Amino acid sequence: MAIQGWTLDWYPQLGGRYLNPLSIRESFRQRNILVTGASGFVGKVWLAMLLESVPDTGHVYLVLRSGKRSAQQRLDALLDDSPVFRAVLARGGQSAMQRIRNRLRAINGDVSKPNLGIADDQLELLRKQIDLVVNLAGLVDFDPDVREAAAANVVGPLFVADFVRSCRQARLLHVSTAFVSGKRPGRIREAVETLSPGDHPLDAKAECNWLYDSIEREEKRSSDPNTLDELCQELQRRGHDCGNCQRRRCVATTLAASRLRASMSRLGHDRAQSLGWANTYTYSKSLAERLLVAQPDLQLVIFRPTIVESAVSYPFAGWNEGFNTSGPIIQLLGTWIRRVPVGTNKIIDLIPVDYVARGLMTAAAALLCGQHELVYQCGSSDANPIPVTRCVELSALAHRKHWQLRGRSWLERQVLSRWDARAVTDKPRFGLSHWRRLTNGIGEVIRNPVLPLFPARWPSLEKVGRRFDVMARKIARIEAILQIYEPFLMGASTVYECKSLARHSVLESEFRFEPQQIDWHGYMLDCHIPGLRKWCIHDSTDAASSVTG
Amino acid sequence: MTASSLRTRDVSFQIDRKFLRGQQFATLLFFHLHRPGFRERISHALGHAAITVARSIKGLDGSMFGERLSHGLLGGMSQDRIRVLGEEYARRILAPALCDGDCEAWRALRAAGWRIRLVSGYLEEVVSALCATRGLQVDELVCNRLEYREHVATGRLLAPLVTTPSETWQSKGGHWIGIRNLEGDI
Repeated sequence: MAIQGWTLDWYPQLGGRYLNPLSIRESFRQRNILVTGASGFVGKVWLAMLLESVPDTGHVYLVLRSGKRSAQQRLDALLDDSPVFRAVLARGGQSAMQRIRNRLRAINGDVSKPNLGIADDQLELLRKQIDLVVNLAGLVDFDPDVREAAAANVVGPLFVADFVRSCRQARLLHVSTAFVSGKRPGRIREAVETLSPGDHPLDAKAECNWLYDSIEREEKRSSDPNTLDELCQELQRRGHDCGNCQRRRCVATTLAASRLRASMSRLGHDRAQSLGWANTYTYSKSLAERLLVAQPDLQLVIFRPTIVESAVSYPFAGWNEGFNTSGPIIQLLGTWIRRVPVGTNKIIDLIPVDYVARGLMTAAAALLCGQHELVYQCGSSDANPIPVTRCVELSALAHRKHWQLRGRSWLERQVLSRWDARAVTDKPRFGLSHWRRLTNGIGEVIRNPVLPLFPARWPSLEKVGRRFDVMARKIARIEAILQIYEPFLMGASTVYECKSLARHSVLESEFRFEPQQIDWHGYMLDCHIPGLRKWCIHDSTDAASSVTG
Repeated sequence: MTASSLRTRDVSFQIDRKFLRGQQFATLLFFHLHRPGFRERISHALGHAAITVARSIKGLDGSMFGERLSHGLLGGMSQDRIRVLGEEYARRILAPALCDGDCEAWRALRAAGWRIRLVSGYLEEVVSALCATRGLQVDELVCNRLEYREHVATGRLLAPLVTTPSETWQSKGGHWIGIRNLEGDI
């Protein structure tokens, strides 16, 4: 007889698996689900998978912010314009899309407001009906204004949790990130830690209070009339011609706002770094987890994907959206960059979005059945690790293939294709900072001693000087990208355990989370990098690539 | 030769006319010239040229030791790079040179139910990519295979080594067809 939620860790033949297999379709049958953040990259793929492959769900309510367009208009746009749903339409035809539309409901709302910003009449109805709330909303920006990060990644989940607790039978599936573990090396357990990654005791509530106090202090300082006066004086000193005094004050206010944003971004980043997180995003996500776990009477699952990347097969091979995971660094490897500094034996944890959607399905089904664990990590480093050095090599090879077949000029086809970026573990003797200083220096030399010597050549020399400036700025940008990605490329190796997902025996093969099946060579060369080029970089030369949709 | 004239079920195809030597030199040189580092490219290409000359002088062509010596320099190259370079070499150099008539005969034999064995001294990565490029289906691939450890070539060739055509196919039985690289029909 099956015992619900009973693990058999002591029974070696079953390898710690649950006794009763999990049927995704059965678990979701006639269940009403409320989803926040469904318009994001992971949200759309998971939603399409749920609606297409699990036909017997109840209603799926999407909380969408209404701005210029209403929530319903945004939902219509999502279904009509997104390549994800266009692929569903192509597979199942209009009848399948109609069935999907019939189950979907758009709700005007905003997760950063109490009661999710939902109107009272709808709220009552939802509280009675909802079985599962999936919170995919969040701000995926590494170092944003800390106020925005706190509102979306900390306060938002708390409002969602409040809503879930006010419902009759709802449970919460909160999507976080595996990088809440910060810079901690080694194997990362599926647990919510009490210490910060820097091994300091951390009270999440006190930390939030400190954060909001700091935000308030900064805001007060910025809006202080003395600060504005100082800015006005600074503008005057610098010789900015802003017309009258009122106009100057207006410019000073704008400048103060932009400086406030920069100081808010610095505040979050510095605090995160001091506690052992890489950036504000992971810091804010970790605070949210800690606060959610402390909530009483909440049936909760925390789902932590690693670096979510292009799809292997669902909705179609190569589908990707946005450009803030490995995109910038991979694009960089297709340029004239030769050496990328990486850590020895460092593993990069990439996971295709369709695998994340499968993992989400499993975690949600387990939560609905009451067989769940608290934390589900979803990555590849545990079962099928790919070292950064191999990832760089595969990226370089994918770019090589691209430039050979689709290079626009002889230089791209014959030289750039053979340029081949390499991962290096030792610090290069002549690094990017040296190149930047050199190009800067050449620009300066051209402008100062050289230009006055050759007044007749002024326009052409000025042009050359400007080119060196542009080059120096480009190198500085590359340095900034490498700095952002340093935690993923350098340092000690980290492996994210994915035992919780492995414990469930999923009956339906299409929902099984099996990252050991990923063939990294084929994935990087035929799915991920062509997908990035087509869907994120919008490279026109890639129109005929293998990725479809 | 037609399919009906063959008496046994197996057919062995050879795709290298002189069975390696000149072609293998070019293939391995191609691999060395496309290593990731510029310095590596030059040093390995020179090393490969030196080994080839030494093999000729010492009369090691076609010997197992000679084969191992030539492939030894591939050590340290990633499996991913060897796969991509193999595909590239097959697509750009070998595939255009294969005769359409030979490929047709191949397909006809296979359609008639013959079991096709492909024998080649090229690396497996090159031969399988060549078959994929020309849409040729193979039942058995007899070619040289490199040993890999953690996706990096050790430089060792795995047994059995393919050195001369006769040794390889005679022990296997069946009919032997040499695709005459690349000009004329079978």
